[in-house]
Amino acid sequence: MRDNLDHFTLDVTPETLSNVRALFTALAERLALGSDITHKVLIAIDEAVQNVVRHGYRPAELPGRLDVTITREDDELVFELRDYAAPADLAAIRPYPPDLDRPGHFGMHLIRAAMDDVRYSHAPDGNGNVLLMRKRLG
Amino acid sequence: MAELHHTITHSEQSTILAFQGEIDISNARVLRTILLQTLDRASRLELDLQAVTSMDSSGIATLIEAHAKAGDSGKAFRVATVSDRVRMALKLLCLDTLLMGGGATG
Repeated sequence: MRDNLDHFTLDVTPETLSNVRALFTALAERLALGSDITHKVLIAIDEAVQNVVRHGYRPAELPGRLDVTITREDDELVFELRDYAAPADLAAIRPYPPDLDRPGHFGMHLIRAAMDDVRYSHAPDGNGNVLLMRKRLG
Repeated sequence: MAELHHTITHSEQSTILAFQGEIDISNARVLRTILLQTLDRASRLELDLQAVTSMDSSGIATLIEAHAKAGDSGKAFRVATVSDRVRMALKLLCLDTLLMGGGATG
């Protein structure tokens, strides 16, 4: 059974990431997710939005539009983040674990570690990218 | 920019650098500057992140960098205390033991 929980649009920049965290923290509280799942969801969302700001939109394109849809499908929360940046090179997006000699570039790895299923694709209309993340409840 | 504050205290055993606030790409450079400068001046540095309510991969990358620099210069460095959010992120990346060592709390 699918239950639409929320849908909203954000204008994201590096400076608004704090506002995004506050928004999702409030959502987690509203949904009574519990601390463990809340931490993992917030960690994944934080990284995902950071990726859109850093790697999606060019600096001149910021603030960048990000459409967020949150649904519940049976025992899973589903987060869909859709940007309108240039279509990403999907083959180049790999979940690299932290490299102690060259720290960095492990954001996607962190997202995959926090969530149960992560899928990245181009938007159906070719205008942007879609990140779909699933988290099992309980 | 995400709000971030810090305090530095000195004991006989070590220098303690404590941060308060959030760490993301908007202020990760501030974290890096303060952390590496403090490490430069200390022979033993402990990091207190108990009041850091969130830290993304840009901040964690700086922790890894500081850990490596400390090792290269023969200095002691560890993350002594963390908030639950930061602990979760470090555990997900399997970095908790490396950066926090034994006896870390938070």
